[in-house]
Amino acid sequence: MIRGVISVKEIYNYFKKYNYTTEVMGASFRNTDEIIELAGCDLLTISPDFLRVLMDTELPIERKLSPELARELKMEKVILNEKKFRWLLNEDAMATEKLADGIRCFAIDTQNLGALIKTRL
Amino acid sequence: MNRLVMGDEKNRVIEKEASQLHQLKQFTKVVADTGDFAEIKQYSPEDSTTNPTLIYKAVAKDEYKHILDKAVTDNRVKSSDSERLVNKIIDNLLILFGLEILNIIPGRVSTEVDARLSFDTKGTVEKAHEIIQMYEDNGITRDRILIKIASTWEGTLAARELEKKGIHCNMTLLFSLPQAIACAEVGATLISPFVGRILDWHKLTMEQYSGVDDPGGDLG
Repeated sequence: MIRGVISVKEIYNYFKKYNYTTEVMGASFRNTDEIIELAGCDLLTISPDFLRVLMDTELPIERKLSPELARELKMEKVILNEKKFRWLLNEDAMATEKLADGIRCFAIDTQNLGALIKTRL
Repeated sequence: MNRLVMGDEKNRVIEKEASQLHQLKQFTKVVADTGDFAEIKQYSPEDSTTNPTLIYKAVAKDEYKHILDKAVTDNRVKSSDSERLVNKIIDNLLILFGLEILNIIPGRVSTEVDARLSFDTKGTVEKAHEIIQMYEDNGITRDRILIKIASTWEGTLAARELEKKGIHCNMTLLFSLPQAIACAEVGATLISPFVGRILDWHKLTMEQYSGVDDPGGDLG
């Protein structure tokens, strides 16, 4: 199964199992298979290109995620504080790098917006 | 039977019940991820999300230039400090896009706090209040707004304060279960775990190990 999909399923199941009310919205998709694999997630945010594909495709899809299925799973409860959060995040090279990279990219695009505005002042 | 999604006679679009989009909507709230709001009507999403990259892409298009012009004109005389003025215009631009999107969708729009505040709890809280104030000045209540905040430790602390004030947060740049749990523990309204970028990282890492040079640009 696709790695990012596994991660979102794990999060969804954990929240439903431990009755967190925080809504889960899968984001940043690279293809519609990833979207269909997460059918049943609380929300999915999808680019217009993929919305178009989903609208034009007439194949059956089935629900993959539900609170009922989640409650049957065995998952260990994680107790977090700041030290544990920072430790676990650092242990995960992918999450550490993508978080840092994401912040850098959004900061650059905010600066790009600023530069564009300056040309119009 | 087909459901009529858009009433506009010229631009009528039918969402077929057999379509995957229609099926998906039976158990998942579908949200449009774009700054290009003219595109989304036909898909009838509940909510909509934006981010700085999507807004930057949208204002590069001729059809949205007038929004940029409005943000610039509305703020031109407000501050003499050019850096502050530019930041003010950026905020205004994000809100103008948000307002346009809220005209189209029934639900909530997400507006992102400046990523440069990702490690600044106080700065994030202040910026979120400014954004909410700007929406409320335009007659939009806070229940239709989600403030997007990076899922750093500092970001979760900001979310805790904001949620206490009834300001809803959408925790973004989320790639792991510990980040998700931290967001849930502070009572964040919503999280956005990323899917595609996780695969991007693994592909890139594998390519680096197998000695492939320059695997290509950032997929955003």
